[in-house]
Amino acid sequence: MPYEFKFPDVGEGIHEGEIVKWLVKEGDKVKADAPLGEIETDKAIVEMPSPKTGTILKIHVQAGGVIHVGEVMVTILEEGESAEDGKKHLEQKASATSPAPYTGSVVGFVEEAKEVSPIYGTKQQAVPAQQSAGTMATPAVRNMAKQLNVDLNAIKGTGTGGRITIEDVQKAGKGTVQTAQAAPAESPGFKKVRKYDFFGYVDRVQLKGIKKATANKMAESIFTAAQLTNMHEADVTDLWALREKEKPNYEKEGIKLTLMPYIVKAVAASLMQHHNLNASLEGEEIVLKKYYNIGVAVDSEEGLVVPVVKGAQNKDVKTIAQDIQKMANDVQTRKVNMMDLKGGTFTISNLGSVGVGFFTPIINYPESAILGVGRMAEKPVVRNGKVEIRKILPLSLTYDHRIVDGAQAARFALELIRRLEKLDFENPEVKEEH
Amino acid sequence: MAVANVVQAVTMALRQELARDKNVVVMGEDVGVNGGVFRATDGLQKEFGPNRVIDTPLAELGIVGAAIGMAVNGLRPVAEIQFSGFMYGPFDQLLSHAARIRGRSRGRFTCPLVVRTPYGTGIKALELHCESGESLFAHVPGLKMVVPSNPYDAKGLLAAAIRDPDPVIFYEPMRIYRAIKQDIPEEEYFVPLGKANVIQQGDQITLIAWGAMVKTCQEAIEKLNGKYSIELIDLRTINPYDAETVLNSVKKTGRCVIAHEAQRTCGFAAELIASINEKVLLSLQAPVVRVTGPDVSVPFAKLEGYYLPDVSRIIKGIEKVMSF
Repeated sequence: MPYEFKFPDVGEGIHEGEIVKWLVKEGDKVKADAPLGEIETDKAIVEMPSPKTGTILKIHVQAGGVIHVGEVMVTILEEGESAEDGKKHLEQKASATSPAPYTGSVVGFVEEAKEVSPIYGTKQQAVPAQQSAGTMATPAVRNMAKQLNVDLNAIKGTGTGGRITIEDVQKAGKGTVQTAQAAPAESPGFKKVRKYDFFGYVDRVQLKGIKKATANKMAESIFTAAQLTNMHEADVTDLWALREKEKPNYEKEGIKLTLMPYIVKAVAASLMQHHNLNASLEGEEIVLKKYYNIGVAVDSEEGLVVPVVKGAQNKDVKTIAQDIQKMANDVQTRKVNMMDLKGGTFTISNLGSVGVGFFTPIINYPESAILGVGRMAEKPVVRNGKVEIRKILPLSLTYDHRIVDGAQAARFALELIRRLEKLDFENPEVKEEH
Repeated sequence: MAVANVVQAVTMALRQELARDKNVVVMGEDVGVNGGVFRATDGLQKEFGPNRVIDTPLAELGIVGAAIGMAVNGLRPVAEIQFSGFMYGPFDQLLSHAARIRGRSRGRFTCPLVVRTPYGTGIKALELHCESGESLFAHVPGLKMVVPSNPYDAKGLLAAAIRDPDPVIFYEPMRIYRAIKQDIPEEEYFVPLGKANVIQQGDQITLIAWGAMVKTCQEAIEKLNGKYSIELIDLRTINPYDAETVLNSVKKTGRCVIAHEAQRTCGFAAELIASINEKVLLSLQAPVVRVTGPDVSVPFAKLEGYYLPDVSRIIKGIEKVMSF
C-alpha cells in the first residue's frame, strides 16, 4: 500500500505550516532521507526529508499552500508496488475522505485569523457623552409609570437632582387609573417543578382533599393541645369468647362482628363518669359534653376518615355494630353523609388490624382524648399466682393535658378496662340534668 | 506598521522592552531555547541571551517566587506561566507577597512584576488549560489584572504593564491568540492600564466584555445588524477597572449586558453590577443581565461549546434587557 506522508505534530504549538517549495514532482523517484521540499512554520523554514524510498505518487498541497498537522502532504509509492496499486489507492481515498481525528494536545486548536482587522475603538477616544443624564427614576417609580402608562421622558422630576418621584408619576397619571397604586397584573403564573433535589430524583404529589384536611387538622392538634399518652393492657379473653359466641348470630343479619362495637359501647359508658375526656377547651372554658359521639377512624384510599357513632350511650352493641359497618362502607364507596363525619366527642383509632401494639395517637382536635387500640395477642400473665395464657389488648390513651390530668386519664382507662374484662356494658347511674 | 496576531504582538512588546531596558527579564518554562508553548517568546533568547530570557524548571511557585525577589531588587521580570490553570500554585506568592510588598515596606519598595499567562476555553485544550480566573486575581488588593482583546491592545497594554511599578497579571486569551490580525505600529506606544475602550458608541444599551469575549460580542452586534444602538465597551483592565467609562455609559443608555467566560457566581460581572446599582441605579431602565459560563468546572473539549457563552446567548441577553 502506498505510504501517506502526513505533516507530523512537531510540538511547540505548531499546528500548520506553509509549503514554501517542492523539490520533487509527481512521478519522481526519491530516496529515503532525500529532501522533498521546504516548509515554513511559525518558527522557521525546514527541509522535509523523505521517509521512504519510492516514487512520488501525488503531491497533495501545492507550493504556497497551508498544511495542518495530520494532513497528508505527499503520497509515496513504495518499492515493489505497481502503478496500478497507486491508482486504486488514490481512487479509494478520493471516495472516502475523512478528516484527521483529533488526537488531543495541550494547546488545542487555536483559530487562525483570515483577514486583518482594524484597530478597535476610535483613536480619539470620544469622551462618553456628558450630555443629559437621561431620566432619573427608581425602579419602583419606573414600574408605576409602566402601570399607569405614563411616559417618564415627558415629566419634569421634582425630586432631589431632578429625580422623578412617585408623586410626579401619580400626578401625570391622574385620571387614567382610580387607585394610585395599581396592583401589578397577576402573572399567568407557571410553576417551576423540579423532578430532583440536591440528593436525587423525587416525585411531587399535590396535597389535596382528605389528605390536605388531615394534614391541617393534625398540625392544628399537635401545636394546640398538650398531648401525652398512657398505655394500658386489657385482658379481653372473656370478651373475645363473647364475641365468638355472638358472631354467628350477627352474621345472620349480615353484620361482621369485631371487638370494636364492644369497645365503643364501653368507652361511651366510661365517659359518662369521666366528662373531662369528653370535652373541649373554648377560650377560658372547658365544655363538658353530655352526649357521647364516638368517632371510629377508618382507613380509606383517599385517606383517613372518621365517621361518628352518634349517641353511643343510648345504643346497644348491635346497633353500634350496624352503624360502624354502614358508615365504613359508605366511606369506602365515597358515599358517606357529611353529617356522619361531624359532631364527634371522642375518637377511637385502631391500628391493631395492621399489627401495631402500642402507639401515640394524635387527638382529633378539639376533642380532649383519643383511644388507640392495638393488636390483641395471647400472652402469659400471672393470675392468682399462676401463669396463664390470656388474650391481651394494648390500649393507648392520648389526652389533652390542658383539660385532663394523668390520674384522671388513668382512672378512665381503668374503668374502661374493667368494663371490657367484666363485660359490663350497662350505662352508669348518672344524674343528668337535661 | 506590521501585521501581527495577538501572540506576535506580545512578542513585539517583549522585544521592545528587552531592548529598551536591560533590567527587563523574561522567564518561564520553555521560553528560551524552545520559544514558548505558544511561540510568544520565539527568538528572544537568541537575541538577548540566556541571562535575559531564562528557561526555568517546571515549578510555577518557584518561577513567581524568584521573579518577586528579582523585582524587589530592581529587575523588571516578565514571567510566563504556560496556562492560567497553573497559576494557583503561585497564587500564594502573588497574594501573600507580590501584592503586599508596597504596603509591607511602607512604600519603600514596589514589586514591578508581570505574570503573563494564557487563559480561556474554546480551543479544545485539556483540563486545567481552559479556566478564566480573572476575578480571583481582581479580588486581591495590590494586584493589577489586565486582559487584552486584540493585537494592538496586547502590545500596548503589555508595554504599559512592564513599566508599571506594581505587580500585573497579564491574561492572554488563547482563543484569539491567532484569530485576530491587525496592522499595528512597530514603534513604541502604550495602552494605559485602567482605561476601558469604547469600541463602538451607542445609546440604547451598554454591552461590556473583555478578552476573547469581545470578539463574540462583536459578532453578536454584527448579527443584530443595527437592530439596537449598542455601546460596546472592552474593559481591558479588570482591576482597577474604568468605573468612569462604565458608569457614564450605563447612565446614558439605562440598559446593560455583561458577558464573561468565567463562572457566574462572583464573576467580575457581579462587581460591575454592584457598582452600577450603587452609582447609577436611578438611570437603569432594566435589570442588568449577565451572560456567563455556568457554575461548573470548565468541561472537557466535547462539551466546552455548552459552557462558553456564544453569539446566540449574548443576543438573548440583549433581547431580554431590551424587552424588559
